[in-house]
Amino acid sequence: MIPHLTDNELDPHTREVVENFKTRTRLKDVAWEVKGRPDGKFLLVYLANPTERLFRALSETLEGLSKNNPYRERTTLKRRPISPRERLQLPETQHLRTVLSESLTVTSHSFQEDFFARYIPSVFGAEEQIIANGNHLVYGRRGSGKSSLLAYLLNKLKLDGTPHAWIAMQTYAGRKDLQVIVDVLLDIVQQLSSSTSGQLEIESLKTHLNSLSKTKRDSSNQIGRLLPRIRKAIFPLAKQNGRVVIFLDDLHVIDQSLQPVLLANLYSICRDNKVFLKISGIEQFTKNWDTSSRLGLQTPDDAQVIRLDYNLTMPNKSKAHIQSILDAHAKYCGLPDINYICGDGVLSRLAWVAAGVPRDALYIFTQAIVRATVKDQKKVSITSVNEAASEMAEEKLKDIQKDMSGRYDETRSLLEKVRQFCIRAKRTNALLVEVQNDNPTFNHIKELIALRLLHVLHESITPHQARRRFMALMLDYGFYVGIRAAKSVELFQKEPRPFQAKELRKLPIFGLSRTINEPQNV
Amino acid sequence: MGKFPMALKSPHILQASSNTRKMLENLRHILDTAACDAIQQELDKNVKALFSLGEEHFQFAKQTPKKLWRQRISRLYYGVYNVRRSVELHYDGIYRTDTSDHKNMHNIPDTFPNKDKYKIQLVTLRDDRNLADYSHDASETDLILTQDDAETLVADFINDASHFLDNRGVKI
Repeated sequence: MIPHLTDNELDPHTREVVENFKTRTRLKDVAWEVKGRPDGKFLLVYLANPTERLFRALSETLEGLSKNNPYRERTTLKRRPISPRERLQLPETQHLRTVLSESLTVTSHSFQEDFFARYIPSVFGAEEQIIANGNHLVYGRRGSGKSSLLAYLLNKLKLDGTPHAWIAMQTYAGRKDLQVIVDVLLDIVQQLSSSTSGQLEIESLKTHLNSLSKTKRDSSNQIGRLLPRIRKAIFPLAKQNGRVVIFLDDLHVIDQSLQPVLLANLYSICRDNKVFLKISGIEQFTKNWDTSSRLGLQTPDDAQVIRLDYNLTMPNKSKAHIQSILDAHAKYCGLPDINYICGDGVLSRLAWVAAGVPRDALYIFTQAIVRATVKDQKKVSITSVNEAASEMAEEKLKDIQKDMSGRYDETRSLLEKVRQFCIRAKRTNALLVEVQNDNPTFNHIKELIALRLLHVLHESITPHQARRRFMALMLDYGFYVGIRAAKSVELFQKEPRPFQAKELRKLPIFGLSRTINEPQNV
Repeated sequence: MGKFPMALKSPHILQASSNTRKMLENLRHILDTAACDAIQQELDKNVKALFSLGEEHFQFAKQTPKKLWRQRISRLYYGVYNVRRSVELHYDGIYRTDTSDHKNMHNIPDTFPNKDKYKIQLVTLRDDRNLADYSHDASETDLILTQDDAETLVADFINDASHFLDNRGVKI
């Protein structure tokens, strides 16, 4: 018997089961069958991979059914008897699209009670570091998993009832005024006040900070006077619960001049007070310490750095990490794994086009599902991944404006030169750039890396002379793939695997000798 | 309410109380540690024996030719039925001898791995076993769980139960 996928023939009892199950699982449709046998009817619901989560949803569904529903103890989930060919049309795959879209932006509310079922640990076990008592700066490019790592600790703290405050710095993007500090302090005190059951000093601080946040006068002196009071007010909470944790997500979005000042103020509350800071940001755009004013957090004394982003230096591990993230989401949606809906070579191409950045991989894959579905493809194809990557490149260019106020033109200009060098002059997607930390052009190269337009294949190699170190880079795939990779561009590796030094030494060298406003010698 | 034909004869630890776990808890303030340990050991012995009984049924089912689908489904069910009883005896302190016990197949501890899958699938296997044992006009295609499905389910349950009990100090 062919399972149903429409509601046309639903009797009221079947409808009650199917509709409740769909609501609980958020599946738009499910395949089902009423099996008649000598002892009565049995309702079978078919999924590609009935997991424990889906059985729990069914169990809750059955417990909530009306008393006279004959399927209360006569419904089960079954794996589809025949593997469907049109796998992108499955309700499970459609649900995966939704789930992937939802996971693109991680916030303090992401995944809720399913968090740990869907969280995939970082490649090198950063979770063990972030849970430790101590201040941490989590660095990585956009989408590398910084907020996810903070959210991992946040969810642990929620489970054991440890007081915490989560500040999304995006609220203060681009600002450099001291009022930001007042507002952040107010936000922290407000969030912690829910754990203090109306402690008088906390309430008084809230009132004081509230009035300060509304004033237009310079409030730096008043902030300074309030800090010892905030410190004292939080300590009983930290002592009682073992610690208090303050999260600052995306510190880099506020003006660099303000970043060390804010950190210095927060550190004065935290130091030796059982209060710990967990901060995320893009390293190239974050200034955690100002040498001239000696303000901020010094590493490693005041805070330890956790780096999440290894670019493409270990492409095989990047691919495995991306695959495990996609597998977790696929299983959550009732699919056996992500390969179930992927054509040959798709995950390898995805690892390259996303350059090891998990969120880029999720975004590109989601778009690739859409494109493949529109074209009636049976599975996600390399072609659809290429198209999505090409579109993603445009999005990344917009990030230049978001992350680099004022330096947009210089960076775009350098990007164009690198692009010409790779695609037109050398016809390859990988290149070498000499490591010259005092060269402004090299610093712009590092910014292009931070913006995920260039990707590091190797941090430092010495291809010719021992004293000259070079960085091996790859131009983002989005610039030379459309429906297929441009045939004129030779791709550096197809299957992600560890590099051999001789492969890197052969790459062409992009000269830094001239400033970026002058023509490059290619 | 019918009784199993092989009901226990006194004296027997499982005849001492309708809930042996509660019984032991309430004896701890009277008996010394050695006496309580002796009772616990006797209870654990019964847990293991029930578990072994389930395993025996399972082994028999696996050796039975597939064409004897009724026998295989029946023995697979009794395999999982007795292993579930061993878990219930250990976890809740309950050992039932009435035939209505078959209605408790959904009773799985909250901390048991894959609890919700078993809550539903063990009940389904019970219905399949009833069909196999009592329905003269049923055929193998009437089964909800195929023979392979049922064998995998029972093997998984025995494996999960073994780990569950092991983690709680009962070495199977």
